[in-house]
Amino acid sequence: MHIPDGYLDLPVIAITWAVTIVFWAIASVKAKEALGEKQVPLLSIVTAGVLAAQLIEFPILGGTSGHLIGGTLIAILFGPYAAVVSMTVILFIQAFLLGDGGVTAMGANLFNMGVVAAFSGYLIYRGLAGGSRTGKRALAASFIGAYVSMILTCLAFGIELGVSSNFLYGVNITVPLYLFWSVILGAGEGLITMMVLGSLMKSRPELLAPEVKN
Amino acid sequence: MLGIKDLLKSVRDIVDVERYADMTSPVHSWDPRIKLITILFLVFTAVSVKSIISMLFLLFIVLVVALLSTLPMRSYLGRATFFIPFFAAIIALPILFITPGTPLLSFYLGTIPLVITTEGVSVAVLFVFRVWLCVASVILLLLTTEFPKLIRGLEKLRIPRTFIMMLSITFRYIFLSIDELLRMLRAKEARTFGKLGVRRSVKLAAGVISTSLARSYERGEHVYQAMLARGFDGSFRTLSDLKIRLPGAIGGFALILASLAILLADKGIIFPGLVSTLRGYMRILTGW
Repeated sequence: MHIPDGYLDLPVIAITWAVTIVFWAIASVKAKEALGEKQVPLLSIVTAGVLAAQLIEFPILGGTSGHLIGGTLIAILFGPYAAVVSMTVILFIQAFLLGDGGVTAMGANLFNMGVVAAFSGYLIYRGLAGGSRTGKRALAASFIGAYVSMILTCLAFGIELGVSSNFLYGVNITVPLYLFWSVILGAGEGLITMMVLGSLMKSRPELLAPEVKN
Repeated sequence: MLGIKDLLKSVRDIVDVERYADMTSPVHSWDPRIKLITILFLVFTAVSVKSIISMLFLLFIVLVVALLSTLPMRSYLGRATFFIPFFAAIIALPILFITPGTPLLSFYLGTIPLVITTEGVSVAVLFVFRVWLCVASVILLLLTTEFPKLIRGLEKLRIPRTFIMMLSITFRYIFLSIDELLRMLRAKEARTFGKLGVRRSVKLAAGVISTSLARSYERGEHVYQAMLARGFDGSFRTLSDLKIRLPGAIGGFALILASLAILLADKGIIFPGLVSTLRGYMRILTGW
């Protein structure tokens, strides 16, 4: 999923980094407001939990398996700004500790999996769920939110790779290919997000209480 | 089942990386700031150059630094080649056939005629080589710098404090979270036998993840309260032992200068004609 170094060319790198930094600057201010100035430790430790959860293999249809990406899930739990900040930390650790995802491509990875996934998933979830935080409607909304967010994330991946002169194939190939995969990946992400949320609703409904939201 | 092996593999990967990072060598002792900037510069150069000749020069630089770092070459090169560049090579396979140009090799796959073109090979080699160079450079940074030191380097480079604080706390708690997941998975393993159906496995995985997240949340609150009780006011105070020493400064400067020279020569700004002349010799020698 992560774009490695060497796939993107300089213009794409520059643009994705610039956009991501703007979003990040806004998000870090907003996340502080939403979570309270000093709640950084709380968000960090939950981020560590998400990083670990991403390593769990999730059986999807047939023999394939998927991993949680989590942009939408964190956004539903803590709000989209906190999700962007949290995904930044996750992607940084993946790039610099696990060697997963490029350093020059981090702007693009962050934009797709952080900004696009968190905001689109969150907005769709809020729109569809209305005021409800628990119950079937919220669950269905989380599934659709995570599903659509993955389609948009994959669309962003496809466009970035397609317009990059360092990549081998053009937009006419990358976008359809990524959209095709997004149908499967999206179903996985939607299912995981919904199941985890459903399980949280049963065991810890207080975590979904409105006061932890912005 | 359910990824106990996956989890253990990730832990082993991290431990491996940190073990190499803990070695002593000239490159290990360079200041993390120098390494970060130098390696970033190297990767940006690799992303920007267009000729195979420039890439060969970059390869030379990377290998020199790798030798200086005294990392075991086999495992370094193995890490650099698998899996990302390997995967890039698989992605590049179709381009061998669909690029129009002079045919190099043609054969039949069943009844389908396939033609590999010289141009196709050229494009694919450039792509995979570039990805390899980038990965090899970044891995050099990973394997010679302990993560906490890298974080301290970033702090000194004036990356926003909130981000630095989150990075260092998250790094500290990853292992605890993984450990907790492992415990849960082992408990499940001890209580089940045979293969669970997909429905059961999905439900179980969701339960494990949600429990782990809920516990992380609680842990976060406890840690935060404990930090408050000990006078936490929203910022960390660290004792920084980072110091830029002469050998590191010279090394970093030399590397940046060398990659800058390669970049400029590739664009024809300095030594105009050098890259294409060398490319010509290469064509005569290798026929490609």
